[in-house]
Amino acid sequence: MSSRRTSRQQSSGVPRISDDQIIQLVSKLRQLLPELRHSRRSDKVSASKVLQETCNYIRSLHREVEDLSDRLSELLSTIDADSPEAAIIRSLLI
Amino acid sequence: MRPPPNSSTFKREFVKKWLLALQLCNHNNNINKNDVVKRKDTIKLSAEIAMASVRNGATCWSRALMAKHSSSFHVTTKPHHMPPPPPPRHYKKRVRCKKIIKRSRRCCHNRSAAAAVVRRKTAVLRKLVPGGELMDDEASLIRETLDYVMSLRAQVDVMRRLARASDCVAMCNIV
Repeated sequence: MSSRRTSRQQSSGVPRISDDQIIQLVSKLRQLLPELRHSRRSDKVSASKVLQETCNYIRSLHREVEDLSDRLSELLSTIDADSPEAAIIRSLLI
Repeated sequence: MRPPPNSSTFKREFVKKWLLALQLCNHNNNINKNDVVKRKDTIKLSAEIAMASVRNGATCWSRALMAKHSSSFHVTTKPHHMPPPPPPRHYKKRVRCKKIIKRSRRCCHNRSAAAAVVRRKTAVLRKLVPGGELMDDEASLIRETLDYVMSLRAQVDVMRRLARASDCVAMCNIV
């Protein structure tokens, strides 16, 4: 088994990223995801589950951007860029 | 990859760039005040460009987004630290995640089936993250995903706050 791995390492000619590094990155990703962050059951959530949740989360963020753009396009059309209301909004944001 | 700015710095930078991008969009396109659909597209496009621009070329996803939208703005990006593009590498199929798969499953068939699932999910992720298909190894893809998700969250947070603020202003005008 290990000889197979070594020969694969030598054939690529590129420094191989360790599986440990990948595990660390996957666990960081897991901390970002609302679905998985609170699961205390075990720290052995499978990589495929983390990847699936990540894809779901990115899709939901994209949908939210879409919905917010819709809302903002309706709301902002009623506000003049030079009006005092616009200044209030700017100050609330920054 | 340069680490991301902290969340509040990111949001401040994002707002500045978003306002600028909105002005540029409006100037370039002369949007009719009543054209809600065009306005929505403009808001979305300018927010995306602003989010990418905050990272200033430090990540693959931000470069991919800027390249995708560069025709809308005729803007050339001049990032401070542009890493050289990686030399083209032949993508080799490697089973990467053996140690992550549960150790109790010793059966070869189960192991390769699980690895195939991970590969499939990774392929889906590549399509969701801008520039994902250009990233050769899983580690880069995951690092870029982490950065992209944090930036997206900050963008959504700012847009949500703006929507809430506009709601309040609109309500005050009615009263």
